[in-house]
Amino acid sequence: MDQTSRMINGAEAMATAFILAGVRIAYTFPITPQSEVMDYFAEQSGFTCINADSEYNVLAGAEGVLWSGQRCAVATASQGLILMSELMWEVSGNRLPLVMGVFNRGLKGPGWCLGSQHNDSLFMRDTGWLQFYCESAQEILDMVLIGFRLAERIQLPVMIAGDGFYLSHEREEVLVPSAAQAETFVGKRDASDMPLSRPPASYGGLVPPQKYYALFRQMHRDVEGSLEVFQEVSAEFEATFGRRYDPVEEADCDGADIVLISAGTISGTIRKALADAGNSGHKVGFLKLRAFRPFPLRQLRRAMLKGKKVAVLDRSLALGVGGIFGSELRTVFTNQPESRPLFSFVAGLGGLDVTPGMVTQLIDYVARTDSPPEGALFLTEAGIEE
Amino acid sequence: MDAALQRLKIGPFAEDLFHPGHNACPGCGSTTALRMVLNACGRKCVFVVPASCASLYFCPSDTSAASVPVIHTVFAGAFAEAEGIAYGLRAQGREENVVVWAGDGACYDMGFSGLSGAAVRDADILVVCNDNEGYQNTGGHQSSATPQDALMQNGYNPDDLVGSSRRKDLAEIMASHGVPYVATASAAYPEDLSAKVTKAMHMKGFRFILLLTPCVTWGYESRVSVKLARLAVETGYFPLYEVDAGVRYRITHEPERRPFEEFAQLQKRLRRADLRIAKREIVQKWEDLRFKASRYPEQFHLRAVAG
Repeated sequence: MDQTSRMINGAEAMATAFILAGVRIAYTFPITPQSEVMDYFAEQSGFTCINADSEYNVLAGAEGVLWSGQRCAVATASQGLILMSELMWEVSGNRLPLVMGVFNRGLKGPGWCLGSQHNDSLFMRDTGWLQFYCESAQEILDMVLIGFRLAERIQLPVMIAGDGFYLSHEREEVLVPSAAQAETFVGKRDASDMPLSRPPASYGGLVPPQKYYALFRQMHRDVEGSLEVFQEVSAEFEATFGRRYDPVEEADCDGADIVLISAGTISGTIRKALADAGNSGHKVGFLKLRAFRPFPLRQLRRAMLKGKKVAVLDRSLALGVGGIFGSELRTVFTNQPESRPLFSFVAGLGGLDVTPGMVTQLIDYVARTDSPPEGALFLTEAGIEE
Repeated sequence: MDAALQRLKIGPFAEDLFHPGHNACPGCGSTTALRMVLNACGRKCVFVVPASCASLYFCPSDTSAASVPVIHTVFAGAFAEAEGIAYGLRAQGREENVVVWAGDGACYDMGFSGLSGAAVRDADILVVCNDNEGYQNTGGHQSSATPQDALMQNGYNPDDLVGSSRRKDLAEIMASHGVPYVATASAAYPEDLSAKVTKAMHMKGFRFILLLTPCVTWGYESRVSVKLARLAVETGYFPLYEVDAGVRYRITHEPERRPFEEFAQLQKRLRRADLRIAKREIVQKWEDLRFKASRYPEQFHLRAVAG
């Protein structure tokens, strides 16, 4: 394949992907650790950067560009994303196929925070936006390209998320497709008749409850249905570029003592810890959750049942409940004849480093504990606490 | 009169872009004005409507009262959204005008950052602020367009209400952005309104029209709606003027300077207001306006003004 190897960080990989996808307009607003993405857009010639007055109006503006039938680039993080909340519902409700890049960063709760935490993107869990979590700059680039195909097929917006700093600022080798290859794969957005000038077209007005209900139900079905579409598009991507992206990535789960589940950059740490442990320790399988919406329920269940115990490692916290992936993954066994004990761990909040040593600690804890506690387990370098 | 009607594109055989079937209140001051605005805008435009009365009356369920596409959106996002539409259309070489029909709540309050931002970026849009001096589709709540001491749903006792008094002068704020065009207009002066919209439609960049429309929640009989809109102008309370490029002021209608009481006494909301304050503001406003209008002669040429 005619792809160029480059040493770039995740921010540049993300911006490059938008440009490869044929986008020529971006709505931008600076926020750490996303600002490098907009800086990259600003350097491009023949590319319109509109510096809005807030992230709220970044999303409003991008929505407008999509209404006109064009594509638009948008990237943000943390406060910027949650400031967009109101419009997130509208973009998905209007079935506009926007693709947004997010570099996860902790929210201004107890204090300011610059490090990674998944609460910002997971706050958008129920909006109808499809969400994918990435582990590398390569994955960000590829998933943005896949995201455009998926969004425009299913007419729902797509969010491609990566851990702030770990991905946005670390350079790594990335294979960048040529413009021609990317254009062939992504295709053109066919919406030149938008917004419909044929009277009396109106969008997003007041609808009666029956219709509102039906529209919401349809969105729900389409979010579910997008799993199959994602797999189709992903298969085509693999055939073209040789890289495979499944909703869930599975490694060594057959007959495992523990199936460990995580998402994002922690996945790399887990792989390293498991490789270092070799055959000396317990038999541990690994599931990387890539697609969170659509929620790959059946694939997860099948893989989770291959082991004896399940442990989920979250970089998020639903206050009063526990890790967010953890609490969602509990539903996998609801009303099922078979289930597995599920340990829900929370680690790395605020970008606190999650080390291979901590992963080893986690595995030892799960191996020696028969039944998991009801609530979350907090994992730090110092140990594990309920 | 016939010529005026022809200019306004209304009459039995004229093509109207705003149709019967909207569900605004009887006596609504904004729908007649909207009809003038739509007809002056013509078919080649896209309307964007943030949360307001118009979210309900513009396009009743499954129908539309307008012959142009209408995109309904959230309270504060309409200005950037309209800007985005304009950018997207221009990128395809499309010429449609993008018009925001927003209430005073969206312009003065919640969407103020977006309105100011779109003005600073010289977004290629026309914003018409349907200013009925309050959040009226919730039953009449105070906005920062509400006049001093007006009795609103959320201020039965003005003595106890914090911040009930001051309101901001949005037309001046927008003019101070130095945008290509700012104008005020009233529902009672259709020719003036139509001329301003037509002028704005032939310009590029950010254009803003502050349109005063009486609302029945002011507490008046629906039959006096247009009369109130007229008295607001003739008492000097709401001057009709336009500003090119933020500097060239032109007063488009000389008011009769009728007593302010004539306007105030027709509506219940001002029954406890100290009219002396309003009168003083009127005097100050006109002093300011006369000064600004005298700074540049009629023939003053502004290269900044498009067209």
